[in-house]
Amino acid sequence: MSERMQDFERKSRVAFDDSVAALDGATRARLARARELALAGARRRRLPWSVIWVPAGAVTAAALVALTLWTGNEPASGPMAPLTPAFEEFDIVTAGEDLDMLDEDPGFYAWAAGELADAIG
Amino acid sequence: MIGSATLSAPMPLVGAGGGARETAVDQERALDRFLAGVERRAYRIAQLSLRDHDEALDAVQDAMIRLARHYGGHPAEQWRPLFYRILRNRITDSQRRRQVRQGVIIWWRGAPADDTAPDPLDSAVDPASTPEQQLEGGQLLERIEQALATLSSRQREAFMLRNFEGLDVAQTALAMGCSEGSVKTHYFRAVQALQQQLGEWRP
Repeated sequence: MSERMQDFERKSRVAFDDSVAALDGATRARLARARELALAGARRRRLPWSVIWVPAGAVTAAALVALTLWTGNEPASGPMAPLTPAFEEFDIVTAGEDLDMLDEDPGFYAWAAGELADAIG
Repeated sequence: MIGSATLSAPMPLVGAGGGARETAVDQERALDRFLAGVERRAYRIAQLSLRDHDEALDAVQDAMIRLARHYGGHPAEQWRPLFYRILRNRITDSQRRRQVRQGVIIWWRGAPADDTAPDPLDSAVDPASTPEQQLEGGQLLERIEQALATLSSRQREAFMLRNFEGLDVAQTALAMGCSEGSVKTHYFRAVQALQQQLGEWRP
């Protein structure tokens, strides 16, 4: 290659390097952000599937539970209605309360029932 | 034409087991350094090819993402040609999409397809200054940019990768998806054409 061509190569290379060095801050910032994005994507790809999907599954499960509780507080209607008595019975069975307490002071409970009936009218 | 040639299948990521985490961290740091060192030059090369700021940024970003995701596990010495191979394919895709867009617009308007032709005034020599003066500093690159636009895509790629980015012939061949002989031919013709277009410039 001739000396003239080599000099042309050198000068054009220097001009290119100067233009790279003169890049504005906004462009540099966008390039740096793009690099971070690329590295974050690679990092995520390295993670085992369980690390990615287990939290996602937990969030989904929590959302379903929250939805169930929220809809469960509404007045029973539709297909949920027949389930209500069963839930109440289940609560009693699992409450573990001593039903023998009713034998300890039956008069008190009779009085309390009367008071409640008067209050209701 | 190679166009959007596919690269070799991604290698498995480095590390599995005890030192996998440290290896992955080291690898990420190395990749970060590589990308930090190449991103600005890659942007300028993309900008010279696409002549559009945002498209150039998008192309570089996509190339970085693809390299990190699919080729981060390759040996570091392969990153540079692989990165430019990806970037080249991305630039080619952008240029094709642009051509299709312009074709649709021209068809819609019913106008002759002359919008893509370079404006002769852009390459006209300014009589107020000598060629030497015109080709100094920033003006040189501006003139080269205009001249590069008139080269074939292969010549332009060979010139930018070899001369601006400093890839050797083998790396340029990998990045361009062609033989080393083709790289030499494209590069030599590119330098000749650029010199002719830039006038009777003397060092």
